[in-house]
Amino acid sequence: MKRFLRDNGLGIAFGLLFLGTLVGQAVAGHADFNNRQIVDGGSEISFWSFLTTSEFAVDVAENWQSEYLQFLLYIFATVWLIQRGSPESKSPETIGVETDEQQQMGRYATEDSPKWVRAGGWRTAVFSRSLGITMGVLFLLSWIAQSIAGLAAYNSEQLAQLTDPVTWPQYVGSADFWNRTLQNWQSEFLAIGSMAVLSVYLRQRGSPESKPVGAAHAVTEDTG
Amino acid sequence: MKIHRTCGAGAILVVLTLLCVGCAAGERAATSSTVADDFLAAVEAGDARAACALIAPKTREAFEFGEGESCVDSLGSLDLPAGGTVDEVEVWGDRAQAIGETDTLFLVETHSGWRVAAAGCLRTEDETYDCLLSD
Repeated sequence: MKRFLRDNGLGIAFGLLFLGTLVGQAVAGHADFNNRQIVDGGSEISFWSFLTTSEFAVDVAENWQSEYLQFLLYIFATVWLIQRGSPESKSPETIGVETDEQQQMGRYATEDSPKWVRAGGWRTAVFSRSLGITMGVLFLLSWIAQSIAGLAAYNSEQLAQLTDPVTWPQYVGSADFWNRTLQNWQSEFLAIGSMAVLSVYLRQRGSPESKPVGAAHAVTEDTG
Repeated sequence: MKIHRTCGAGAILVVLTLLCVGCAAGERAATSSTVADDFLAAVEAGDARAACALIAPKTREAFEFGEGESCVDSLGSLDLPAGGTVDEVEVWGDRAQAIGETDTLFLVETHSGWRVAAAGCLRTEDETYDCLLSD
């Protein structure tokens, strides 16, 4: 058990942080929602009812989609773009999808390689893109969920303001949808760009996200 | 290079969100439509007591404050469009819009059920409504 916790510390710690903050968001969101209901002449609702509202769903989904987009773009961008000196980047000589030998594919696959790598054909083609595909699917699902939940929340507000509700295509072209979307995207891009550049010059001893403390600024593809 | 790892969990929740949003809307549309029909019928019958009972608390308070007398005593002076039935209802969250032959109503769901938040509404050019009765 102790060994399991140690070997899976990152996943478990961030899983618990995720659940804890999601509950926190739900509690704060519920209080905020009921405050607005009082002002708008609606009725206060229970915590459990709030969890099924479009207001809670859109607030969750808009953040999820941006996180998955961040990883999706980062996964693809780092195949072709480098940041010299950053541990987040690979070296200039390996720009691109790299050779089968470098990727331990085809005849370079080993006995320890995953089954679908040894299988060849479409299985290997899919597996060699599986991280990007999964992130892309999760991004699209989250974004669609945001648009549907956002439409419901937006139309509820429209009706409270004695205004006609809008259709899904109208909502997807609306300022509300793009304001929610872009405010999340910009923060993700800022964070990832900052990490790529700052990690060239700054160090965090012991972190694999950083280069070794004593490594030269120009050294790329080295962690410690 | 390190690839950030992320918890892949959540796909099921996303799908559930997709399925849940708007679920039970049909049933709620029917109950809000019934309240709108009852309100229109009460106004047509001149039954101010029944009509006022279907008005949302905040709207009723604002109306009584503006008129300086009770809803029952002053509703008739509004000359609200009366009669007819509701042709179309849209429900979003705890709000609904009921479009009838004679009037467009806006409703809000309260602890007592659906209530009329605005009535006697005419659509303006900027897609909002001017209502004879609203909060």
